[in-house]
Amino acid sequence: MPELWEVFIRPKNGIDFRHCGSVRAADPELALQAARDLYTRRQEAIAIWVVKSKNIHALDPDIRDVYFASADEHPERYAGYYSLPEASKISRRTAVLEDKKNQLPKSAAFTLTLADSCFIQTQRLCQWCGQAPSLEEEMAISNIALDTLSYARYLYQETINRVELPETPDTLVFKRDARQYRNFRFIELPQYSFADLVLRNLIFSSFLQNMFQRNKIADEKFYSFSEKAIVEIQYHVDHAHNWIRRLSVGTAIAKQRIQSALDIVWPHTRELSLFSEEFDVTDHLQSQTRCSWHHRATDLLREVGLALPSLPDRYRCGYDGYHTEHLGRLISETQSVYREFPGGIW
Amino acid sequence: MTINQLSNLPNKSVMSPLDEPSMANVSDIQIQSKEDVFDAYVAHGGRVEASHWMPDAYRKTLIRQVSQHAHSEIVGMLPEANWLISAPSLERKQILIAKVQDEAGHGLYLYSVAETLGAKRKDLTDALIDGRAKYSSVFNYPSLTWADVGTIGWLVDGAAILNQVTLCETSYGPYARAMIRICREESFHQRQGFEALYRMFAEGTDAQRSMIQDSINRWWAPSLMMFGPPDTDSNNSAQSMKWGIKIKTNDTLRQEFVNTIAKQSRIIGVTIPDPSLKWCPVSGNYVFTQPDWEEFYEVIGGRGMCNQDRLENIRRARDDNEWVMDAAEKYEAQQGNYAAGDPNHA
Ligand SMILES: [Fe+2]
Ligand SMILES: [Fe+2]
Repeated sequence: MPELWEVFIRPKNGIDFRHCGSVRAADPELALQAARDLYTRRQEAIAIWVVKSKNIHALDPDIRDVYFASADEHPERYAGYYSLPEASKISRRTAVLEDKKNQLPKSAAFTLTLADSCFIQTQRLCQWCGQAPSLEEEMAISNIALDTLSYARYLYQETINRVELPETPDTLVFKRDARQYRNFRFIELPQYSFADLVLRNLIFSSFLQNMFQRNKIADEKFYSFSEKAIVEIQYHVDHAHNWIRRLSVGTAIAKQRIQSALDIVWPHTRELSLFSEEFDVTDHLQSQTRCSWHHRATDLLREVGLALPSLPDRYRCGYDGYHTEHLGRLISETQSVYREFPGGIW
Repeated sequence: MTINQLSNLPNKSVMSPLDEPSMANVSDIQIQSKEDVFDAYVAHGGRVEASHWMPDAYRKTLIRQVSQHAHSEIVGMLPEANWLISAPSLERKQILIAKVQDEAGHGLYLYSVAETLGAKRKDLTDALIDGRAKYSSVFNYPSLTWADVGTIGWLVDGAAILNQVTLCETSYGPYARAMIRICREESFHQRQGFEALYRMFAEGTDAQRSMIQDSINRWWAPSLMMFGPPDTDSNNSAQSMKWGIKIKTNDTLRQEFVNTIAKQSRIIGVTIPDPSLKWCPVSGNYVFTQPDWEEFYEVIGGRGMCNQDRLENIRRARDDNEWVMDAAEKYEAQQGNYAAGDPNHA
């Protein structure tokens, strides 16, 4: 006895296949032929499926209630659940957006972006605590985090001084929401692997060092802070160099991981050059000084055989308030204790 | 060397108990076993160095004690690292990063002491992860609120210091020297914890005070357990005391701790969760209730609240980063090859 086949037809494009009956046939070809002859004699279909009946598994009618009972209780899945206002009640309100960044003078927007970047970098480094590849690296990562945190504190204060804001570094960190943060976008990306850590550190540290070098000359008040920071950051850069060299040539796996990490982060360096252009307080300097971080970083990455992905032509900048989904979560965690205890003394 | 000669040695002698000339003496005179000479040397306050002969049991006991101590530092990072991201002020964040970093440093000091005794750090870490090694039971309790950061500093570091200060006098030179460095750093740990609690309690809100009292209630008993079981139930103690690996008994240290903390708790304003706690002028000590020792043995046996979490964390840090350490090793080997084979890379 030939096998039994269930027949499904699609009446026209855009309509679901519909079960219409069965045929008996020895193989799929014959089944299709029989189905066409039996069910589509008047051009009822533009497509046919046949499926062996024994391959169709149905729910036992006795246990149906267990399966479908909960469907009744979810009216939110149906559009009718949502009421619409009558036309006469259309909202006449408009939201007021405070764009604090646009209210800041350039010199303060400059330090605020660097401060936020240093702060968020500290947070990302803190997440390595207890997760580092070795105890020696625990020490190194904490050292870098302590440095970037101290830069953040200084730069927040500097921002406050430049515009005489009624704030403190703490209120800037704990009272602004994520939409008001002005850090570079790549800084907020999670660091999933040690390759992410060393590359972000390379890019951010060399850039920061470069910014401090330029500002040291442009701004007298900045001088003594920058002097010290530039020396400290050299250690961050060296740390990144040493590891990038090892990961790029050590093993094939490591090389592959650092290359993928670079593929993710490198396009974001577009933001750094846009930032330099927009906030170039020292454009009387030669362009060589302006881009020296970039030259040094590309030299190193090429030297160890890594391929540099191309940069995007257009880029929405973190310093303009364009952030990823990761930042909101990080800021919530950052502020959780502070917000839980209004008026708290720490 | 005879006992008479030994008694002429100055206390804390840096001489070996079995320096070459004395070895000759021992074999000439043949009245003392090596072990007896060693025991007498240690009994007279002599310091043992890595290169010296020492009884196998002494070495083994020390490796066990030092590595347990090292593991405690490393696992001890985790409950506090839990609060790095949410530290409610920039200053507290800076303090906490520095504090947790110190603990990683302590772990490093202590692992290197164990290495002078012939142990390998990798083996010790593997033993920790496999559950073959022990660490302080206190770190198997969860840190649930920001106040726990203060409480851990005040009570847990406070308890650790008492033990560590006595160990600055221990017979094994490298261990004693590590302890001196560690104690110098620990005093900052206890101080910052006390100060954080004091300030929050005195100047903060009611909600902060409740958070602190809840925290003390949870950490009091686990802190008492840090000194180990009562002297009557503590094995190995006698031999370790004789060797100067252990200086004061568990109960002596515990009593010192209670006396100190009871006084300090009044300064902060918190209540020690022990209704029987009271000053006894006759003994010059505070009378207190023993913690639940059944619970202690459960936690030590791997069945505490956080045992699995903690070890899983250390395991993940090791396994997820294996490729990093691997690349570093391979790189090192390649550099070696270049140096030997190719003058350009020497
Ligand atoms: Fe420590
Ligand atoms: Fe400590």
